[in-house]
Amino acid sequence: MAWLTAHWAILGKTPKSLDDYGVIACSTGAITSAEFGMWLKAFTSGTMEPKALPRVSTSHFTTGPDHEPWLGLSVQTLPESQDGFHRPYAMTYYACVRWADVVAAPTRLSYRAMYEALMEMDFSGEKPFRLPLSAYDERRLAEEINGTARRAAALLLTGRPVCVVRAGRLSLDRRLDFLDAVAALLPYGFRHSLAVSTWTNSASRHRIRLSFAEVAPTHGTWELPWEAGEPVGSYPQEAQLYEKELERHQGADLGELVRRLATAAEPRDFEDVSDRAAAARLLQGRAAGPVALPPRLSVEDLLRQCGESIANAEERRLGALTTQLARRARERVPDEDRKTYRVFARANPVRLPESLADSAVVQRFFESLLRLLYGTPLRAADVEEMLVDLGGPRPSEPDLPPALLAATDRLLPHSTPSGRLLIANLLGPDRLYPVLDTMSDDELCGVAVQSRNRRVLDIVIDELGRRAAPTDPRSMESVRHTLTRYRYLIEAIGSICAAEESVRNYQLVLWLSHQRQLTPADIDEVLANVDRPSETFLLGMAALSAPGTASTLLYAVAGNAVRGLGLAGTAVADSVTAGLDRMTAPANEGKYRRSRWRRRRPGPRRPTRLPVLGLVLLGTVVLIVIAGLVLWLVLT
Amino acid sequence: MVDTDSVPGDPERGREPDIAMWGASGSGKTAFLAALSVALNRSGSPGWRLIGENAVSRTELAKLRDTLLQARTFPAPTEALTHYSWVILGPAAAARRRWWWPWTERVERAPKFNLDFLDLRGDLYAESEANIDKQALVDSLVKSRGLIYVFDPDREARVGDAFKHLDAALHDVAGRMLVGDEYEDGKLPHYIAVCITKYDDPRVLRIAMEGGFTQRDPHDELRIPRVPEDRVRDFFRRLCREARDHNSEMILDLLEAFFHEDRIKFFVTSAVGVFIDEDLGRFDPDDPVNVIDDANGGLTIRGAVRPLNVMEPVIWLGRMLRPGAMRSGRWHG
Repeated sequence: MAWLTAHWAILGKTPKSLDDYGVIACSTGAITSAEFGMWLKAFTSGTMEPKALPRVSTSHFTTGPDHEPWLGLSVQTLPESQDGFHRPYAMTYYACVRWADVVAAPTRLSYRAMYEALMEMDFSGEKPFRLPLSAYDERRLAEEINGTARRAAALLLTGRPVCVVRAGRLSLDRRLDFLDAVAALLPYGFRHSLAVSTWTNSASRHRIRLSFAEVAPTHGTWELPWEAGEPVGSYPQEAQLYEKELERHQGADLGELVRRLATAAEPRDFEDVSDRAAAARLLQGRAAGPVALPPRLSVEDLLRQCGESIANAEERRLGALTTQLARRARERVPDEDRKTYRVFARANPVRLPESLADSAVVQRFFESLLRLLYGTPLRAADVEEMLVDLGGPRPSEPDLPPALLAATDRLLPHSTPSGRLLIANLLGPDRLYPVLDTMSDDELCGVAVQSRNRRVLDIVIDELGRRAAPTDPRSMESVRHTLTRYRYLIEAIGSICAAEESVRNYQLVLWLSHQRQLTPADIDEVLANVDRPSETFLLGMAALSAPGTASTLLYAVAGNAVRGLGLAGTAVADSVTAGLDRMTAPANEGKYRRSRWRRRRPGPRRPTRLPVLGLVLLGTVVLIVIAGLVLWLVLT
Repeated sequence: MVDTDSVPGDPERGREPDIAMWGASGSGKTAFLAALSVALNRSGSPGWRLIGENAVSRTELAKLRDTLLQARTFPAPTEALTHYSWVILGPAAAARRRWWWPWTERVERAPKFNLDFLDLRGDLYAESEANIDKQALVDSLVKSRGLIYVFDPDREARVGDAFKHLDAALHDVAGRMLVGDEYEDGKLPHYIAVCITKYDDPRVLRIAMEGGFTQRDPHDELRIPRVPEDRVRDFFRRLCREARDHNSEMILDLLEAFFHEDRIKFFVTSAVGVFIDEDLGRFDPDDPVNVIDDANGGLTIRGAVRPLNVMEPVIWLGRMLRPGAMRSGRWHG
């Protein structure tokens, strides 16, 4: 473990802001806000794509009169809010350290260690951070090295950037580990001028030298398909030689090579031909004998022993085991392994004795456990998983120790309000109400729509009910407006609740938004805001409709069916309209009964049988009268 | 330390752009580009297409189209200088017989031209020239010959920074190009399509309709009110007067001071067009809004995407920059 002083900044926007991207907070001291802004924008990985977030990138720059070199790492995330133009925007959390500090640290700095440390930091105040960095693990890095990493390292030594393609399926963790593995196959000093990114946009002009992308840039970049194993013939000779040299190192020998390259920390530049040639020479020096690495406990064994020490109230032993567990949680944990550990945790619930209820060690254990099972930062979906995995035999009524809830609360970033609501709800009303008080009506509805969680939905509807009390007309109006904007939470309710509950919830939401039984005007207004109301929503409306609204609702139901079946504008729709007109004939003069889909087709209409008969009869009568007149004139 | 002023590898990344997008953040530059291929597909003369010249441009074009047509929303804000190399293909004229050899028909060449577009984050225009990205931007502007200047009346009414974004970068470009003797008339050589965006915005439509700038095209079944070509400049001046920043009134003067008047053309555009109620089958002045809030607080496109005047500025610039490529003459926009 090493500690480095890191200066930090946040580049982004504040919700609803009309401003451009800018530094919205930063540490003071060696780097100014303007410098942070310039370097962060200069080392952008290109226009953000929500599917590629979070995105981790590194950068390098010099500052000050002595051109002091710095290394930076940024994590770009997508907040749930929009800017003032209703556009999504990215938030970039950034920390940078002096190269001199990196070189002087007792352990080498890996991108993953810096990323994990940065994710733990509280980006507030003005002071620089003290970043706790885990030890440079040559053995783990060696395990991450594959053919693509070897080739990427070799190609970087041609001086041209490398773009790895066909790897969109890889998780962020795997991509970050790959970037670390490539850097580990070069003398450490090259990190001084190496900008990497877990995802770049190739249409954007960027300064990233090693990255993943959907397609490679058109000019000047090596395109490297992930694990494609293509022949090396088309690459320059220096790259071929370096790759072949790397291939000679396997297993423990490879770990030793990584260790040896990590000692070569004098600054090197990819643009400098002599630095690149020196890298090849360094690699050709043979490694010392393999290093024996101690065996490690499996994670399941660790969890089992932790559970035993908690059950036996062995706090000291738990502390030692938690340290190991924390280390394992900080390592790269494949998603498959996380699933296995969750199954294990579900099958082996932790039984916390009274004596350890307030133990700080237990809380630390739960934090490590959460990191191991779900990764960091925790997401709202992880909280829901956690309720199932650690909530005991009845997940609908989870029995979670306060230490676990506190640990969850601490690991949840502020950008996951639904997770926070769930945890606050479990912690009790004293914790829930302060959280609710910080949320606007808009945020509440947004959370309900996004989380699609039954418990969150109940909390939100309850809270909206509290706010829409008739004693506060402004608040009532605000709730009404928000529910209209969020289309009465139709999709959220429909996707979470069974039919019966859906109808009840729609009824409740419609009541909250209108505070009375629905009049024909209300029905028209509601339907104008809803594109295709579901059957349960229409039933909810029916259940809340006032007297005299039957025909309005009938037209609405029929219109919905006609539109849903794609019959709008057809003869069938016309006949349905005609039928409805007949059914509601005595009350058919109200303008609200006109249906939007009622439209007569242009063109000649077929004459009906009755007028033709009438015409024939009329003609016959006229003929008889004329004939009679003529006869009368002739006879007289 | 590496020279961070340059992009690693090939710093020029191939050609310089022909057409640079110019406008403040959020003014709709990328949305305009996203709508271009839809506009070509929907154009009155069938056969117009937009294709990416290389894998990167093809991928980006597909993403932009999907954003508008499938996700029914707008592209994310652009964060870096972004290049698109696109090829615009037009319909070929009908085959003709040569008067001097009437026995065989001669297949007419279809209009086809390559255009490289430069898109970027709008705030870069207002940065100081000390900023390393601004230097790259000014380099590109100097080398390009076509500009699409995007003026967003909605943003101008709310923020009012169009003048700032135009003035700073214009002086930087002029400083590089007009100080020497190359351009003796003292004007920049670019063709500039001034595009008033977001015509579908109710406020913009209202100003256009109530100000008497619109008229109806009798051949337009959708009955969308349009600002005729000879009134767009006045409409632009009017919108500049409505802006939050009084300096906006100087934008037109600034453009005409730096560019040849006959190389400036004004367009009223909308990336998604106004809302057309499919039941009604035509534009409804009481219900024109085609962009509405979605459940997450973002924006969603309500009806069909019918770009207005998006293809026209590009084709005009194409005709000015690549006159030979437009020879088939089927399109006279």
